[in-house]
Amino acid sequence: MANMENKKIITLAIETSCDETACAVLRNGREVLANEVHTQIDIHQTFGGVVPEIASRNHLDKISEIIERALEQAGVGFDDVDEIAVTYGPGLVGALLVGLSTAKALAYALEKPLIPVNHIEGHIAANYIAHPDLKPPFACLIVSGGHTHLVDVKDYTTFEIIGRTRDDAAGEAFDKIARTLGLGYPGGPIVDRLAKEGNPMAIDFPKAMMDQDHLDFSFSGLKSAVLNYLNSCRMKQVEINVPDVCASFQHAVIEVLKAKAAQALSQTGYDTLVLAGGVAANSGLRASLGQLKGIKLYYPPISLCTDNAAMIGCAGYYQARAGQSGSLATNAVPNLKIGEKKYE
Amino acid sequence: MKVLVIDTSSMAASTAIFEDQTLIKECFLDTKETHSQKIMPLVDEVMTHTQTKVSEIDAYYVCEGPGSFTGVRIGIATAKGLAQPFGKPIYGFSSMFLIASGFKGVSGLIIPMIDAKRMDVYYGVYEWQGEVLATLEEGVEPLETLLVALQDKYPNQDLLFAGDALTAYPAVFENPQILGESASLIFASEADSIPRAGRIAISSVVTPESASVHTIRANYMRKSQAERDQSHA
Ligand SMILES: [Zn+2]
Repeated sequence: MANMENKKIITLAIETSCDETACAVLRNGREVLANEVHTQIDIHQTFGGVVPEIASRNHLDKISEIIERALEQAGVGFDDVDEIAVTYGPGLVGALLVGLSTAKALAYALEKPLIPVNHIEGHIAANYIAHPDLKPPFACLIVSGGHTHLVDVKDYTTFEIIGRTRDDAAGEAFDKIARTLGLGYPGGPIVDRLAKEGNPMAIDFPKAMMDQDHLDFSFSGLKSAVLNYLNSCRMKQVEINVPDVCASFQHAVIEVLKAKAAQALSQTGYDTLVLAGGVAANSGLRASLGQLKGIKLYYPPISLCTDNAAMIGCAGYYQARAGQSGSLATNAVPNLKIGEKKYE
Repeated sequence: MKVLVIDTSSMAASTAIFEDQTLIKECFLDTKETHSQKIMPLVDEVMTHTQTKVSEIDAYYVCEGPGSFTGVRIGIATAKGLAQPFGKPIYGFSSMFLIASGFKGVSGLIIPMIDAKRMDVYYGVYEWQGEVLATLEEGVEPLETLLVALQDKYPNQDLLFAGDALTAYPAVFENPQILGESASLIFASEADSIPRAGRIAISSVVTPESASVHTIRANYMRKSQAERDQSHA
């Protein structure tokens, strides 16, 4: 048992929940030895969004090469791998099944445990990689294309949702507005960039549920308000100031997120706020949350905000230490919720 | 020389182990569970019963489709995960070839047809040439057009039809006249129309030297709906 403390745990992680084929290798959960991400974004761009069947086909064609590259980059062999972590939900079912089937077979071949990981919990874990000092508990604001959640992260493997969107995710609103303005896909980074050149006070868009004492969000009203504004400009043949629209829209989103995050901290009594998910890369959101007084704010670097397998490996590492593992019959769960475990 | 065969192209899933080209164990499961839930337990079962370790498998034979897009991917991804750590080759065969394999030694042409929905079928035409099951053609076509074309191409031949298209489009096959004047016409039973890994004509599968986890591809025979819509737009 003496050398247990010196034992280095090697986690191989696979992520294929959407349009990124990714594989990572980690040492002791937080040290990333390799983080290979193959993005299909240019394939899906011609369709204006991710096409599930095309994503699944590309995952299958690329997965073995990405695994090989990650091991090479990490300088480890299959023999060195102690556990296989893999995203099993939420996400596109056909896409998830490529990574999950590969991972199950790999784990079986290597006679190592399979650790099924929730993709969104992976986004939270991206922060552990970026910040060696970060430990639960804390409040986490998760904002991505499909998710807007406030989560009480009680420990490494225990999560409770304390706030959620009642309709659209914030990221969806970014994509929809970018599409309507003809700015391209994905909308988040483009709107964020243009917002910097605009006046956030130019147009007064609604900030839904801002003053209510629950922690839920609603973005469909804001989305409609922006679309109505654009329509009425076109009807009246008024020129649209795109940077002003972006800045005002983004301001409305951020104000709500900031108010609810502050409320979550006072409700849980935590002084640590962690930002996670694709929209965590939004510079306006980071700057605005940075203005909250008396809190410690953490967010991952841009490279760990978007989908990657390192975050899945980190979350899987802690699950494995907690004795959580899957089986040969583990299935993909496309609508998996935060905190759910559906892999026995 | 041990090989593991995997098929997940239809509703049923199956695995088999061959030793020196002889079937030693087959597992077949035609239940409502998904392939993701079924296939690894079936792999484990053939391995356990034959006391085989993954490292002892010399090659993988996997059904590359066509069929259920997701099902086919699960089978190939499973083969990839098993083969990669030990650098073993993966060989592909079509789902129609697998069905045809079940009719060993039958004279004439064996024509499996798999329902591709909306009156289209995936089909193949095979013939035993000695010990080898030869592939004459494979493709996807509207069923009625295909039957006329086959009649033109292979007149007065013994024909054996198999596959789930027989039960999906009974009206078409109930009227043998549209099949012309074949020397004889046989319709396979429903049981013989289901692909089964243990029946594969293993020595007839084309095994390229460069076959690996990187070269194996699914054979969907169809573009995704989004690509078809785009090309029609
Ligand atoms: Zn994500």
